[in-house]
Amino acid sequence: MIIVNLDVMMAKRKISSNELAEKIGITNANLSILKNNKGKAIRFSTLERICEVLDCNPGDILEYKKEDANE
Amino acid sequence: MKIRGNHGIGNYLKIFLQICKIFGILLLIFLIPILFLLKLPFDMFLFMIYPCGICFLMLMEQFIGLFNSLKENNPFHYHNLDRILKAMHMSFMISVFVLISFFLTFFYDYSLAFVVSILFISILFFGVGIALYILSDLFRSSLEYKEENELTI
Repeated sequence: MIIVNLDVMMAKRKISSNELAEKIGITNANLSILKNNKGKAIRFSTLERICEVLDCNPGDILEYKKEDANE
Repeated sequence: MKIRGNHGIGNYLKIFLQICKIFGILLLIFLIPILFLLKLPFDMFLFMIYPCGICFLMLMEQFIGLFNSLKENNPFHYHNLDRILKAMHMSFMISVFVLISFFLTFFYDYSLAFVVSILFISILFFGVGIALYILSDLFRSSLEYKEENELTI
């Protein structure tokens, strides 16, 4: 599964959710969906804006984790 | 013509079905007294009106809910999928009850045209049931698409 490590990057850049949401141009609710790994997909345009604002690469935000068979 | 909203066709159909439902309930309640008053003969075949009528009222109830969601501009919801599935079950049940009625007509002196029309109604409701089954699958996939779209950031 794909894990979104947005909160880690946000902490590194010392940026609040409200500020990030405003700079990316999405709502707080949508940013929360993304942060809590509830989202089903992410648009390239959104990812591009996140990388631009947080000055990072997509790999810094997204991480692949193998799902356990027991889960 | 508008379909959704307060002045949409969905709302008018809902009101129409609600009126039909009230008349249907009254008919089921007063059917036997009316038959008694009019001194009309009643047989086993006539009693099949009750299970068919109850199923039909439940079918109407599902459609009232569907049209209500059209009125409220919120048709794509999992409640509506349940309603379509319930309506499908009711259609199949009506089809079975009408088929039983069809076989019961053999024991009484009903005209051939009437007997054939009973069989036709059974086939019709079976067809409606299949159509609703297909519709429920379409509706399910549309709900999945909607959910995916909503969770795409």
